[in-house]
Amino acid sequence: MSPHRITKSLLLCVSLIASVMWIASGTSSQSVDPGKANSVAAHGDDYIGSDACKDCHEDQFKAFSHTSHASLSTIGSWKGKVTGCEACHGPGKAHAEEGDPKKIVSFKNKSPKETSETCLTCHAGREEHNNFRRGEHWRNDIGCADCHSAHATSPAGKNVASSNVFVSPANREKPGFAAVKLLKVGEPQLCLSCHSEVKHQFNLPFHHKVLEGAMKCSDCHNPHGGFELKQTRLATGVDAACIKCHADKQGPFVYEHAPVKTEGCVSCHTPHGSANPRLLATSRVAQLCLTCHSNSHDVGAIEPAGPQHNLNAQYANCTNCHVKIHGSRSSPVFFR
Amino acid sequence: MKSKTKSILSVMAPACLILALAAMVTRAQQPTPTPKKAEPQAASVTEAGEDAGDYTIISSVEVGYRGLSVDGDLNKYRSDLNYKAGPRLFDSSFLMKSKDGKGGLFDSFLVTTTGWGADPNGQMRMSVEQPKWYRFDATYRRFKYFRFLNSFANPNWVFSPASFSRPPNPVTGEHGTDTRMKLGDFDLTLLPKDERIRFNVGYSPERYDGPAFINYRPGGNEFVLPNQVRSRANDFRIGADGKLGPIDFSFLQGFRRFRDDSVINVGPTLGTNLNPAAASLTSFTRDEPTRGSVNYTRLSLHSLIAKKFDITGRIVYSKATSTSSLAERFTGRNWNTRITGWPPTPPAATPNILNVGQYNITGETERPNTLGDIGITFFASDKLRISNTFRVEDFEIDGTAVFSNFFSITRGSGATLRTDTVGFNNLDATRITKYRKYQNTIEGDYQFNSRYSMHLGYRYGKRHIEEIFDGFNLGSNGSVTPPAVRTSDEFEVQNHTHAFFGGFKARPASNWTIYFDAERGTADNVFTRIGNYNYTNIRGKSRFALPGRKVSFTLAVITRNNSNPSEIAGVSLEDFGVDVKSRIFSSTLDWAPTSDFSFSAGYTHHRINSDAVVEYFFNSVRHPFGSSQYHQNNNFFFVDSVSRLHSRVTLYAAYRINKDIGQGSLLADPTGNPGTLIASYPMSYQSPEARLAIKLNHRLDWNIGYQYYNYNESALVGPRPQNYHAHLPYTSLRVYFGRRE
Repeated sequence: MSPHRITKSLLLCVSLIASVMWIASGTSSQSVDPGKANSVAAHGDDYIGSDACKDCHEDQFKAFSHTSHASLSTIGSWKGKVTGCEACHGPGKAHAEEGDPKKIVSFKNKSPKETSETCLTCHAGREEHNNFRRGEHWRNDIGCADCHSAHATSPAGKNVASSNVFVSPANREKPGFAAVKLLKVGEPQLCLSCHSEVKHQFNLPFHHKVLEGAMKCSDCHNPHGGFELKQTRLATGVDAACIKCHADKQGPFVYEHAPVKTEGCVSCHTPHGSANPRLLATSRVAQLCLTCHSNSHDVGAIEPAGPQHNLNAQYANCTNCHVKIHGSRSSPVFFR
Repeated sequence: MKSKTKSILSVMAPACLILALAAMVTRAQQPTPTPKKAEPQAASVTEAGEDAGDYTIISSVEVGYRGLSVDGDLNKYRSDLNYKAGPRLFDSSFLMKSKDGKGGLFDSFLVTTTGWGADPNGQMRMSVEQPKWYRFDATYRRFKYFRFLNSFANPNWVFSPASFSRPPNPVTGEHGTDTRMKLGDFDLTLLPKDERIRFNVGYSPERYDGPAFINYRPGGNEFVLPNQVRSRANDFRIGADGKLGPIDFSFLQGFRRFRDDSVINVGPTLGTNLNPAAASLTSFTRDEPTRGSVNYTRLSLHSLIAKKFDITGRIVYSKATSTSSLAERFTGRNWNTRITGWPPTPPAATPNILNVGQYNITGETERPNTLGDIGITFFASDKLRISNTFRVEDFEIDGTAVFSNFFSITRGSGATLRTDTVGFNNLDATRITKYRKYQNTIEGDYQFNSRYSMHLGYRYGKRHIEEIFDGFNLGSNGSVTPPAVRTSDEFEVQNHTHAFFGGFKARPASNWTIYFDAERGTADNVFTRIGNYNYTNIRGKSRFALPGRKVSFTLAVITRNNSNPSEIAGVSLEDFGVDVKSRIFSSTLDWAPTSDFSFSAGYTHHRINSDAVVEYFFNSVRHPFGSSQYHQNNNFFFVDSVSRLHSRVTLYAAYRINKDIGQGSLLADPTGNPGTLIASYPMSYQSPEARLAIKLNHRLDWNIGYQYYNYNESALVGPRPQNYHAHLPYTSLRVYFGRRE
């Protein structure tokens, strides 16, 4: 089947599913979005507005009032819908009148998934978050509130000395993207607080400059899920995240080194860091290449022929001659 | 001098911009201060930020000077770190937020920078938002790549006699680069918080240029050629996302255009083999202008139906094309074409004078690529969710090159000289790679209560790969003599993979969380032996915090076993084994007993052992079933501490070390039968760091610091150790706006 036919078939399927969803949704009597479905007009008696919360929850209110969550009430498409505290915590009138904590939605004893469901009522429709419910974090019961603070936090550091080469939250008056993305701590500290096992790789002689602040974990990974393994992002349509910056490896080449596209960059490289130059998976290039190019492995992976591939001479590193190993437009064996 | 001035300017300009911006806004807003309501505030909480009318500013800028002293291998130091001496903007941040969330032009304005000046990595990120109307995100990054490594690309090459060998040259190390990469991402979203529709446009430029060395092996010798790299790409995006009834949609159309204008233009050049009888160049030029495009379309749909079904569908289609035109022309001596029958004999092929050698090769390639995903989650109950994700991916790489060449060689023939020419025109070769993949994942997760949950799943994959060749097989370097006939070849491989996975999260106590997951997969065939085909991955993590959160402790154990006993091309399972084992043990401890002291430390052990059956030649002897081993045995330890020595003085001290003992006492036996190749990279890399921050006044800190890097590698790594010691003292001033006491 040609790619065009596949494209057409997929588009047809997606259209059909969309139609079914539309129709089904139209007949559905329920929606999970309290902020969208529960308009103030429809439930005016139960809702009292965020200002009423301020009296008792002043700190949370002050922090929240600086966030983009708080500004929804000024946006036309949100007019007449519940925004502010009650968008997540539900109607507050009974709670305010009786002071009963049971009369308001609290997230204290909810599981990460339950809390996340509240966030997803608004955020699930964004491309970035569409697949959160099928992502690695979801599987492992890591929810939105494990990384984000819906009420916003001040810069989390202390006014103390910190590293000169690595980004650090140590200086309180050094705000970062945590402040605008409602993150509890900025990257990469946030990610490393769980994924400490990769920290050593970013301290090896060759590494991507994540700890230095020139890159972020989320430049390559989508923490909100996604369809890719390891929650990596795609670049320029369907290419690997690496291609975003390493554009010269994108091709297409007349002679592609097929595994670059079929297996991915991580077949030969360790992206976080390595003692091996070029972030290669092994220290000697020849041994990496020979792993595939051996034993009549005839998938364009022909074994090195004859004595000219003598490992004790200048051919110890295959890329000395096969310099364009990712792909070439003029040499079947990547010589130029 | 000019570059120093430029360096100073590059540091000072952003610093001045941020300082001026902060001062200007602060000053401009002062005449109309917002009356403050007398509100009681908690004694322990002081609001951060400088009052600027309707806005609050929090900002800091650190400007200083870094010194540098390196003993040992400067090229390795520059390849690893590349920090230089000079003034720089260490980092800066500027956040301006409206007080009531109802700013005018913007509600929040954030700029952060690090590493501008003589540092190898500089970045600037910006985010400006007025939630009602727009959000603008920008990132600009600059990387200075420097690579001159002897151990990697310049092993001791020994020709016979040894005096013909060109020794490793730290100045012109093969594959050396001294290049710059500049990357930008600029994205504007209109109506960013609108529920119904949002529009976005984006632009991402990429520039890569600078000198680099590239190898080339024509005529029986190998040449290291200086290459002026120059490539660029521009990526434009436009899209919209929003809501149409119950369906959330996201649409993106992108266009990337790229070009490569790298050139090589050199005069007389000796090859790596200095034997006077070996080929040498008297001139060489190569020009291969390349133009390409990638047009891509992405459509995503999402809906939640009756609170029971979460459905996401995505389809991405991209079409990449490239065209290139290579013109390579060279002259030289003693050209050995290594093609039987040319030049015609007698006379002898060498010595000779290569009057001209020329390749003209045009290339055209297309790569249409389609990716479709659909994920459905069924909410069976409040606690049980069942999901299915299906993917299909299809691409085809269709490349055609058309070859032409011409050679003219003059040789002695008896007492006279004889000139022979050979060439051909317009011989084509086409290679097609077809790829199709189906993958389906079904999984379920169950939430017992807020403390315990588990998940289980199964993933099936099927791949079909086909490679087709048709045309003139022009050998390793584009034959001098034309192939007699067209040939064609076809290969296809198909495999099926089955993977089961599952895991759980448990919180036995409110301050203790355990994560565990595992995956076991098998495949019936392989395309490359380095993929995951018969594997078991296990991951366990534990996070523990003492009440009050003054001490927290994390532990992680990750194991990966990947063996590849699959059959391919009729080779038996035993003969085709690849085994890779990876073990990671990691632990960290964070302790902050008081607000004046904090301490964190960690240890990670990472071991990789791989063993593959390979075929290799050593001393011209074929070893068809040799063993190829790679060993990594790395230990990483770090400690960070911060102490407040005085109300105005804090001290940061840190130490990090990676020490890889590699293969240990194992030794390669490449001449044995079947023979063993062993690779590892035993080295140690450590960096203590200290910094004293002294608060001079409310707005100013003076910092003085020192960093030290020590790299040592084993003699196993290369012909000579590339060890170095680097001392990097620095001093800086950090200026604050809106500092909190």
